[in-house]
Amino acid sequence: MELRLDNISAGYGSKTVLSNVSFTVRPGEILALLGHNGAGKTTTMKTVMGLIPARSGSISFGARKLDGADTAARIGMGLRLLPEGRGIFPALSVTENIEVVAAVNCGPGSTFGVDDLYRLFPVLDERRHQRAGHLSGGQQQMLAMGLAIIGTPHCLLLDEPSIGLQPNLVERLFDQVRTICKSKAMTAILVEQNVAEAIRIADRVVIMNSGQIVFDGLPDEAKASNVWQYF
Amino acid sequence: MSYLEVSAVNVSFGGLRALNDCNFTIEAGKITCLVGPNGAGKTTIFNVITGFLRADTGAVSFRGEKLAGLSPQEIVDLGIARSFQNLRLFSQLTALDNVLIGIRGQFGETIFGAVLRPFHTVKTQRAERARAMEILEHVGLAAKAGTFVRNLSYGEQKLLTVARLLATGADLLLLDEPASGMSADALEEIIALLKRLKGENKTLLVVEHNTRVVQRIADTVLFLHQGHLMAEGSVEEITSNPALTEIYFGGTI
Amino acid sequence: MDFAFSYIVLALIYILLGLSTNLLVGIVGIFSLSQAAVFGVGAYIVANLTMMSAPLPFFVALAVAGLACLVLNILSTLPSLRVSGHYFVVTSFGIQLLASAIFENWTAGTGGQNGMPGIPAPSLFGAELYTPLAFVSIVLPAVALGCLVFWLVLRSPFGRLLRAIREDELAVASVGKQVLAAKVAAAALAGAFAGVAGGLFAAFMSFIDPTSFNLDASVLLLSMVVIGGARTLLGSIVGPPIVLALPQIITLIDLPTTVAAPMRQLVYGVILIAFMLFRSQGLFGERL
Repeated sequence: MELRLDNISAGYGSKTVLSNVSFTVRPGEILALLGHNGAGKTTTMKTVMGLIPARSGSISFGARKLDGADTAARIGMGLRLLPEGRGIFPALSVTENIEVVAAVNCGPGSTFGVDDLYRLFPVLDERRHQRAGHLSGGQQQMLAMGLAIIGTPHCLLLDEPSIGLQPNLVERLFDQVRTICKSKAMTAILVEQNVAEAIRIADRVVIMNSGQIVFDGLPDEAKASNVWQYF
Repeated sequence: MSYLEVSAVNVSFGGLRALNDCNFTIEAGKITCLVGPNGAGKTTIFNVITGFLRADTGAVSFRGEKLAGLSPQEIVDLGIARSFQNLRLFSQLTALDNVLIGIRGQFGETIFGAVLRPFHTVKTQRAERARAMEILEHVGLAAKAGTFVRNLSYGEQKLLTVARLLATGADLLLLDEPASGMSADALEEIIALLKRLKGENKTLLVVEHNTRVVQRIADTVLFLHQGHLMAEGSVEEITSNPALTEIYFGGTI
Repeated sequence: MDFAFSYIVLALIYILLGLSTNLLVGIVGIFSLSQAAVFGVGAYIVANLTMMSAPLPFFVALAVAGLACLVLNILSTLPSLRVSGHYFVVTSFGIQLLASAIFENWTAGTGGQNGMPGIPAPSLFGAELYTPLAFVSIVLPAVALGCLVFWLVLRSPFGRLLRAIREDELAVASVGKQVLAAKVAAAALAGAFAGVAGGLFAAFMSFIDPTSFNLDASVLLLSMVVIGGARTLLGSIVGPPIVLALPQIITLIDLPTTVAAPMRQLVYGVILIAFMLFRSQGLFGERL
């Protein structure tokens, strides 16, 4: 489904972080959202998820307006966020973590089931009964990624999924995301500092600087342009 | 005598062998990168070296001195300090105060000094603050001295963890993923900083997944797999080893 | 007039006690529910030592109370070095109940439920300090000294270390600092404050019983810190007088006595909830 941001402004307290952010992600498309630390990428993702309110502007998903819908409602519509940091339940075991989320998000005909997750990250299968908090940093990141992706996401918002992951797993994960996007017409926004990997799978690139969009175009155009001055 | 020697270290958590006959040495004044798959035991070896975790068997020695049984404080006294993947900065303190916490042997850091000799405390703190400012300048954060950690960008927070480490005066710095999640400009800063530290006679052991960063900073690469040192060599030797590429790097180096 | 001075003396004593609680709970983050017990031990020590057949001078007894509570507070906060956060709240709750049981049942040492009447007033340079006004002359310097020490700690490197410990003990240990020593020092100081406050309280009231040192009293203390404001000197000074004045203010409303007592509890509860909801940093403090 198409995700569309129209002139979104948002911030914390008296601080404005986003000003007039607009972009569209079409069905099946992966949008790489790039920019340096503090450019407003995470705030954009949180605003789309309804974790912080937009001060002005409007977000629509398919035919529906998201404005006013709370986070739970947005998850119900198929939006999923891999949060910054590690969004897992550290006191629960690996399987318990997965079951808790699967109970809500997985059903018959899920796009990405629990088995698919174990196939993608076999180490989670080996560590099924270990407390999530006792996994290594990278393994926790795999689990967090798993919790975001299982079920039938229609729009996947990934905030730095590659952090702490070994290089070949990053590659596998990104390929997997691309496959789901293409086969299920899912949309995805990928916030990444691993620019090379992000651009490899992205259909479009949006670059932010100081809360504003400074570039919106194809990966090849991005490579050729002078936007890298912002990095 | 090696600078740091890890010999035959074994650590198990429950049924899981985190370190399995782990052996390696590192050389003084060099940057050694520790790479390997997730869960290979990289952070665990940091915990063992810095005294946060006791090895089941095996030994670690630093400049010939055995570290077994020493507390984390005593190990910092010997000159080893570490950073954390999840930073663990003091978010309710300013950048400057975070660095000051790292400076050792300050007058007025005990209750007696603070209460009985307040003027001397104030006087010596002037010097300590100047020193902390120098360290902040060194990592490029002088302008943010008065900023609370929660208001720093992620890149700045990462630089601050290095500043706090430097404040301890330790010679061997263990850095856990110092470059992860950093944007390209911040990445350049941290790479430059790590190289500068090497020039200042610091020895660095760095866990890092970003191959480009490893390529640019590492003198030696240690490849850890399932708690065991699987290979050791230059960046080229490690990245051109097909067995390691299979388990770790993937196709796009 | 005497009534006003009594209120001032009591408020001053509770300020000293509030400093102790603020240091432990606010600054180091050791959430103790047993500070009233330490306060009580200080009070009973002074009562006993000044009422023996060969009584000790008040100031000697006060010093003994301060030292004893210093040690006691180290012991009672020691579990916080092993169990963290919420678990310590439960542990300190247990310590408070244990102390209350001793205060109520050890008749030889505490007079049990009946308490200890006839505690002599302290004398200064041979003159007995009967009146509250005279008593101010010894309480005020003690509290002023307490405030000075608290302020010095707060702005010193030691205070900075305590704040860092509250946030992340492991990170403090990782830069080579002694977490244990700093926590013990803070607990000792807080204990000495509470013990001296207890001794002053016993001598001023001339009668003490367990109701001043029970769980309610510990909670009252915490509410003084919360309402005044955690982690600041001003908050510690402002909280106790306000909380002590509340019951008096409520009695100004003309109500039958049968209604007044429960009303007091009710208003008190509502005020606490309101502070937590709308101003959790208290009047002059930081968020706990």
